[in-house]
Amino acid sequence: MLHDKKLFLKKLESFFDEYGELRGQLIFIVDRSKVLECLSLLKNDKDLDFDMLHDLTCNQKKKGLELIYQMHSTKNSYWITIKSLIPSESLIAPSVTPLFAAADWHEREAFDMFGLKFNDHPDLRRILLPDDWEGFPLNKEYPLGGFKDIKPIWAYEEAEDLQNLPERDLLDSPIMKPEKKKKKLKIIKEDE
Amino acid sequence: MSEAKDFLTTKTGTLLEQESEDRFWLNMGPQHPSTHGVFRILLETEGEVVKNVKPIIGYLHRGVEKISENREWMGALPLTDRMDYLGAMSNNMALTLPVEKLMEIDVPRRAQWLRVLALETNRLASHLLFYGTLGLDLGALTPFFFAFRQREIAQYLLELLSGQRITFNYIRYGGVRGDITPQIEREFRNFISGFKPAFKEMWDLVEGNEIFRSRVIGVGKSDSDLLIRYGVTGPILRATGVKRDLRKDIPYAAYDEFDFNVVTHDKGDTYSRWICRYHEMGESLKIIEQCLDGMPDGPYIKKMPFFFKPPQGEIYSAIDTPRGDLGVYIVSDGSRFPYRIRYRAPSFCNLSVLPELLYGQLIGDVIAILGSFDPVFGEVDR
Repeated sequence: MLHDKKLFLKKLESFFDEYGELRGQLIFIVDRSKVLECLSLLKNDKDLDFDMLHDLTCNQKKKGLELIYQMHSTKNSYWITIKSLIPSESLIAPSVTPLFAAADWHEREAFDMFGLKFNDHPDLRRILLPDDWEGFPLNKEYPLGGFKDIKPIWAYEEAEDLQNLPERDLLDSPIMKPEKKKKKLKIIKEDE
Repeated sequence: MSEAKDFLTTKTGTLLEQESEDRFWLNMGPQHPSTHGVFRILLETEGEVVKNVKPIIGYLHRGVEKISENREWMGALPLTDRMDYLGAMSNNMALTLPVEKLMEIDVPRRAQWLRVLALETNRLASHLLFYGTLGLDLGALTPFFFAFRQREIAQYLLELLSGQRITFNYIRYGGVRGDITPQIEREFRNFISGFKPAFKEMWDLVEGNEIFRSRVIGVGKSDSDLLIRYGVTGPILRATGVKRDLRKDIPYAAYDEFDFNVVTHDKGDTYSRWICRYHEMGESLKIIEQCLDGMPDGPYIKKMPFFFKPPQGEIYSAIDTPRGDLGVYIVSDGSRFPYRIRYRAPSFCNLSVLPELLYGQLIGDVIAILGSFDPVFGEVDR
């Protein structure tokens, strides 16, 4: 992942609280209130020119959700990661859709999966799950099988009726006990 | 009538109101043959002109990310095959890359070359399918047969290499699953010699066709600024003249050792996208040939334990798949299980541009544009 560490540190000086580097990836931790400003600087600055929001996602931490922006510059081929902690008491983040149209669907997905709300998002609905879905599946508290016991539709009516039938009726019916016909297997000898 | 109106509801259940009597909401999908999967799209039309678009996705959501968190790292790998099922090799590559980075594994050189061989053969097969299905979308059946005759052999080669036809699970942490034998190499060379004349034939069949040209030239025009704003990548972005390919920019596997061009075209319409993908097939073929000629010796995998614990940390890495950039973000807490795996699917981002791109297009062209985007819904919904 390409980056220009000196330039980034200089430009983002007033925004980030911490920064780190892991295996060549530069990570900046920015306060929630400064995210929008920071991203607009990244986008509009001529030296940086981060024109693409490559990815937006969340990661659950103990204190809350970590909102992660992967920024990319197509002209300079720069990569940078911006992170911001959203405390679990107020799961609200600023929407960056006005800056990057790509954020629209990504933010909807983050809302869908983590329950993170975005201020000023044009159309914040669930995107992958049905609208009446309960809970936010990618949270760690959410069980793998879901909160509800979801049966397939066919299991409800017909199958339950069949189970309630008296046992004898079922067993005696010709469907349950078809007449067994033994087929005689022909043995073909190799010599023939 | 009321039934028809109920059908035209979005997932939220709110009725879409017609703004005026001239406008009409048209439902397309989710089970429409030319949406290439389960994709529902609501078009508000005025006459034959599309004025408003509401894409609805999520019909194929299986929760790949959630399931991955509850499995070991090795168990997360086969799930990636089920995302982009037409370019499954690149999905395997996308997940192995950040894990290897985090664990600092040196992958043997022969394994890297085998990866390139597999990735490019898979790209070829994927683009061949695009060639065929775009023809089908436009009403031409013959290109489909021309493409699938070759694609069948490409799939057979991948089967020889990996043991599977679609869900390969070939690229593993530390290398690849199996080595190439002289017999498989011979099959590859036979394929190349047979593919070259067929490739030319495929160009002649479609490119000069008057009906094809009038259906695609100038249809669905896009410019690079719009596409970059929406995060659209891959051949769609390259068709607007942006020379951007992660194989060149941040070379992974052994792509820095190969000689190939990044195909671009300048118009940004459906025709350009077709041209880009067509010529990319030629480049893939070039890479496969180089691969077979210069395959280095050595082991094909660095032996790794089945259960392993990567160190704490997080990595984001992206690769170039047949559809665009597939980014994978992994978080490890030092245990046997991944703490979080996130897939940034290229088709997901590519489709988000549709409402803006389809505005003012004809209904008939919607299908051509959607076909030229070549989305895979396993990847969109994950």
